[in-house]
Amino acid sequence: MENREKLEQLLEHYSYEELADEERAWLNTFSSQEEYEALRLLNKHLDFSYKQKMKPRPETRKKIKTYQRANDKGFRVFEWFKYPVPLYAQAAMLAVVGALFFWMGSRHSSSTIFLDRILTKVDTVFVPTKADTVFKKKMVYIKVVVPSNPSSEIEPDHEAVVSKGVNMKDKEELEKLLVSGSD
Amino acid sequence: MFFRNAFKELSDEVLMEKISEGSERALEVIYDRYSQPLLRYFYRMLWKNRELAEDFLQDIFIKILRVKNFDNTRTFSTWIYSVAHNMCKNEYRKQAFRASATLAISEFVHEEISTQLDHHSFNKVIEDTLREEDEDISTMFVLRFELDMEVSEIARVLNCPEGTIKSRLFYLKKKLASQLCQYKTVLKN
Repeated sequence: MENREKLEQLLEHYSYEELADEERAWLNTFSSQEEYEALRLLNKHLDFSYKQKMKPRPETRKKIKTYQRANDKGFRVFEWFKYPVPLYAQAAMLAVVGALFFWMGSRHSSSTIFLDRILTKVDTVFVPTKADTVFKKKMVYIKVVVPSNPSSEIEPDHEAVVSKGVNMKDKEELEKLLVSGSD
Repeated sequence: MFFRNAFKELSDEVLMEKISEGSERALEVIYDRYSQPLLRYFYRMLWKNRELAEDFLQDIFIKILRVKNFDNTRTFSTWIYSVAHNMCKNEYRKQAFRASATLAISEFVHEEISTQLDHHSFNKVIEDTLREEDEDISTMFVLRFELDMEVSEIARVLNCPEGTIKSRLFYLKKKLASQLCQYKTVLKN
């Protein structure tokens, strides 16, 4: 293991010609100059020329996206709201929105009216009114025949009780008097 | 722009949570991060078959979409390359291709490479050697040198000690170097 690590360090930094005599002697115990140089060349090749320059075809990306959409049951309208927005971006957006509102406000500036005094107008008048309806206890007057002698048990005359008006004879005389103005 | 950048700053594990909630943006960011290295990985591991590599890339992202609750204790990159490694292993078993193909291709490569050793043929030597090796060591090699993955992460992907990976990679490099030695004159030119 030590040999390997030491050899890898030498390979990384020195060509065979640059090795010290002691290092060459140590190297020749298990390897050769040819192998050392071949290893150096191989390392360079692996570092600079071995790697592929290859990009996936655009169809592959499309197929994967199609698969994802086909298998995505949820509706992704609100995906935009889930984006993690860094703090500086949030601050920038707030500044832009604030500036926009300020600009819009300055464009539509309204004329200011100053009032010398506050005008008040009475639009409602309360008029005290008297009650127009008075409810009283209803009084009913009825003529009642009262016997003159409450102790007598004689029944009153029917005609006398009922009729108190003027008879025909009296009426005729009264009319004559009114027409002639004399007896 | 803010939204897109905000997602780009999120870790893979958080993005996985958002993918399980159905976020398309999160999937796009993960795709941008991993599609190229995964494609290169599959391309290397699956006999340089571009069509197959693209199919596997699609399959692995469908696997990602099917994950309901990602275990956040695991690193996403480790997990995804473990899945990729297992997919390749299954493919090797399914096709039973490797053993028969190795011999034919290696003969062909040796014939061709003897004429000239440029970068292309240099790679052929490497690929040919990798085909002869164990699947795990091929995976180690591709993860280390194609994807620039750290040895510690390779250890987590393949679930084996770091020392084993270092020594096996060094063994493979020595084997490659010895094969390249026969082309020494060409190399110096």
